[in-house]
Amino acid sequence: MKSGREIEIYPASRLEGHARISIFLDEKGAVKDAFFQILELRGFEEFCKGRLVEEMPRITPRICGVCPWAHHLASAKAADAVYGVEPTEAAKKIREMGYSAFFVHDHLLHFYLLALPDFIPGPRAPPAERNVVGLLNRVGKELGGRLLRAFKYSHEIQEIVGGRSTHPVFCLPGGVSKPIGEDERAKIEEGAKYLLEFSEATLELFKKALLGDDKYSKMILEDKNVNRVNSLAMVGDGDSLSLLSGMLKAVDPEGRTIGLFEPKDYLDHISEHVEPWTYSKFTFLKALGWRGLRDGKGSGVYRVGPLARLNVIEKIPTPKAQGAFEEMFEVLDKPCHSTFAYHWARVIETLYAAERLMELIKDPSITDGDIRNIPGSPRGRGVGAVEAPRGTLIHDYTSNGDGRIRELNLIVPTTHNNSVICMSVRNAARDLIKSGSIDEGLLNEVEMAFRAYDPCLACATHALPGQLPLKVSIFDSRGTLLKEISRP
Amino acid sequence: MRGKERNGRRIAILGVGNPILGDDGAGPRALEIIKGELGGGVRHLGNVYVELKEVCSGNLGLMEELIGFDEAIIIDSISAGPGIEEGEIIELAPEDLGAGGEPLNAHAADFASSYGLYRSILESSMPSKVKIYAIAIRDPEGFCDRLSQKAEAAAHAVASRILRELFNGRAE
Repeated sequence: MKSGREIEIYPASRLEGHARISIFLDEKGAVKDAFFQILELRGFEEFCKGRLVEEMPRITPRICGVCPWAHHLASAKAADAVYGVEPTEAAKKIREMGYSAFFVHDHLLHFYLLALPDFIPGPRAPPAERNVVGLLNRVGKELGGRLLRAFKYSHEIQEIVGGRSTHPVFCLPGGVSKPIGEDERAKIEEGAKYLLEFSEATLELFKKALLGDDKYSKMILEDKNVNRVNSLAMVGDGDSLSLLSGMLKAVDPEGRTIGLFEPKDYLDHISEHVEPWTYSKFTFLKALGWRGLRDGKGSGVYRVGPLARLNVIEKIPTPKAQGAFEEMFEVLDKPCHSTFAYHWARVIETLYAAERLMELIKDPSITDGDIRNIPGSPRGRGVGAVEAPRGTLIHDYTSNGDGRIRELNLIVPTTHNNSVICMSVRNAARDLIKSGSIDEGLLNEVEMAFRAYDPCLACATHALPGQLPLKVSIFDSRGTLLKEISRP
Repeated sequence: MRGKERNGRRIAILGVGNPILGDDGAGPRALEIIKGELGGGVRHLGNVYVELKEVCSGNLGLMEELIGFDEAIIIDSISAGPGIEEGEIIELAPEDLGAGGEPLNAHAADFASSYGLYRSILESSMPSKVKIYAIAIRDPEGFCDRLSQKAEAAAHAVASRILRELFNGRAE
């Protein structure tokens, strides 16, 4: 930066992984620009080269402890494709059942532990209160007990289905490694019932706490933080919500379909742009091209994740979530471009996943023993795509004739969302930082903008002793440090 | 949900870390050594039930693995730095890891806050005794599924200590 001042927020708090937000002020103290920079570990592609394709579903979930199921499933689908084998119907249902339990867990975790403390006790509450403890102090310890019970049930279902709760090991090319037993069905059904009830209660809490509050409802309903960009997501039959199978569909800011393609053809429709100031690439729709961090008509920037999914689909194939979906778009325009509407979409999707979990465990064929088709020989290239909680996840493997990885490409949701996250942070900074005036609450509101996307970055897990100080550095136009503010 | 329905003491031994991030995998490696010596992930030593688990998640995820146990032994890595040599083993208790009450986040929630939160809600379903073996490592810079010599040696040393404690009945 050649003029003005630089403010750094590092590391970004309540974000899965490590990142930095840099806000650049002009001479008058107004926000000139803002960037969301990802400081992630690199080299995963190289690490995987030469490994067996069938190993990948067990390796890729280790990228991060946050969305291992999404990587496991995307990797398994890519491995299915490399080996030219379609999983049996029972295997598909078992995969989806485990994934639904994971999806509920992941969305609940984001809503209660990451997002809700921004609203209860609120963005201007002291940092020591603006967390799940502060939340429970306001809404009651009883909710904390119910939330932890929901996590526990979800974990237990994931462990039964996936073999391990955090890093599943059950998917094999052509199916899964074990069927669901009758005794396991009863346990899963008990958990599914609880998760469905809790998901419904969560939607009601969202309506009461956010839509029922004047300030917060304005943030969502009056488009406080708007980026009119394209949306991309997977769609099932009849353009319905689908997390594990279907076509990829893109709609423009007006909701018109501008792309519908098989996941294996993603390279014909999506390209990547590189900026020197971040390790993460910026994806864009090839037909529209890269025109910088801009929204509006003609920009190739798009969003993924809960809000993008609801923007792209026409219906949700479960009754309660469908009702909530209709209710949302009676209030909001479709497509919606309000950053904070991600939270609403997320609680609706939580309900959908819980309903699917219940539907699947009640399906008599879920205990069918026909769980795997025998794979053929490796064919070369295979692409697997799923809707991860944070958005579309693509695994693309090219194997040698011996089934070992020769080339690998992964596009993760936070890469798809990279551009729009930057733009949302810039919007928030411009709205909240005036004349160089900054306080802790203001900075948290800037962070709220990117937190809505639930960004996830690969990182190590050694959190002991667990300190995560927030450092704000202010530099003058010559790069001299003027002031440093640290969160305790 | 799992509870303390069994007779006798229940001990969880958790190896925490990511095995494909170099020395961050020191905890899981130590666990693997212990598993090899005990002959599996679940073992009854007299009336003591011992369960060994690899965990690759943040502290809140870690807490879910502790529910239903009386005691926990956690093996994790910490960053080496001034005053902490690479390969050094440090024994810690939850109270050594900060006062708690600081901002919680899902992935980097501090241990004390996470443990405090779960204890306050689940009370006796959470272990009352927790011992942490922290292996000091250099921060991983990229993906690798091998440990450095120092981390490997430390993983063996921690495993030996824990096995001694288990067989001498001193895991308390």
